Amino acid sequence: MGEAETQTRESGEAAERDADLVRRLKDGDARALDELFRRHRDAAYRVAYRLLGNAEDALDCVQEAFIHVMRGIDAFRGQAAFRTWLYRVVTHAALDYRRYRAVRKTASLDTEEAREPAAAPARQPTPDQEVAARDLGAAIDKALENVSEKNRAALILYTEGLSYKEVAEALGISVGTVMSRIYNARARLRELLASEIG
Amino acid sequence: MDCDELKALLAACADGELAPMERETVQSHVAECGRCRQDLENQRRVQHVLDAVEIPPVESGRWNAVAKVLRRELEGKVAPVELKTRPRVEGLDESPAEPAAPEREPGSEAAAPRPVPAVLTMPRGRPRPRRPRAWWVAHAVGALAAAAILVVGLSTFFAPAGGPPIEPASIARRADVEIHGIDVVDPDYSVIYSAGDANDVAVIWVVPTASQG
Repeated sequence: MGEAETQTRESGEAAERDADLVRRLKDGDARALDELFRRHRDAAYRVAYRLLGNAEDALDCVQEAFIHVMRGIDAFRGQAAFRTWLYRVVTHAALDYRRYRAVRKTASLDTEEAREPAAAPARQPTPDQEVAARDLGAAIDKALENVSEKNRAALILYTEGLSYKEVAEALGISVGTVMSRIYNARARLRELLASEIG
Repeated sequence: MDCDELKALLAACADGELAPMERETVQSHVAECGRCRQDLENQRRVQHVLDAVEIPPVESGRWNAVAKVLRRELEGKVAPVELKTRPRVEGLDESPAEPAAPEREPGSEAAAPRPVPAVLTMPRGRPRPRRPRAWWVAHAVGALAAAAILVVGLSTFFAPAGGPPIEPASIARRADVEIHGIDVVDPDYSVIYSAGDANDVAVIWVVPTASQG
């Protein structure tokens, strides 16, 4: 049996297991919730981390996403795989969280400005200095911040193992749009990380 | 296909997501076009770097804490967690974008609208607690028992009380039929055979024996 066939079979078995756990969760089975959480928490965290660039926020986001899943589980009809649906919820939660965080940061800056209105603006490090001060992972996190939300979401979901079709389902877009978003996200990253990846 | 049209396929080609015919189109183009060949290589290289990046792991204690919050939420033992994000499941393109925090220039604080924290937009109603399967089974059995009692009671209450006895002669008179015979087939009921004037209609009645009077 080829590697691709083995992967397909394992993926099918995982999806069936998820479907069974979802049915039990709909009946209020707490052990099904525990298992679903254990099975998907790491992947959900990686998606959230790449979208938020921060471990604490990513962890909060995963918790929120699973609560959304629990509250909306009756509406999940199983037309897509649970994993795809969860990634969709995590992606939305992370993007919402970014906006929430931006508003909070703006409010915080306002307070600081009110306290020290005459303070000189902080010296901003140049992009070269920033990149030199960080390792590659941090540089990529920083670069991802400068890729548009939609393009970044498509690229991250693909990086976390979803096929183009699954990314399309998760984001509610066509496969053609997934192709162009992933292309644009990588092209932008290539531009931002020219000195790191050559 | 020119370079601009091909761009949309380059990422999918790098990821092995193209159908054979499309892949062949891309491959024959990049064999002759140095710029697209470089573009395709860049797509692969960026993905390779992304795949290699390690995400900081989460301590198991933190996961346990999150699992505990989820379990308590499921069991409805605590007030629902107030979320900072909205419970949306629709596509990113279909949902209206949350207005971004407005850019503020120094000295314009008073005029700029105050951003509303996303947390204030969250629904605050307590969700219906999730019931275990045994709860639903017990309620279903109770409902069936109540329905059975109701049906028995109603049928007893509305059961026919017998009514006035039927006189065969009055039947013949009122229906303009001739009575051909009466058989007592049961202590309580009799069968009456009759026919119309032209003998073209046969009628059989089953009436209480008492009504033969």
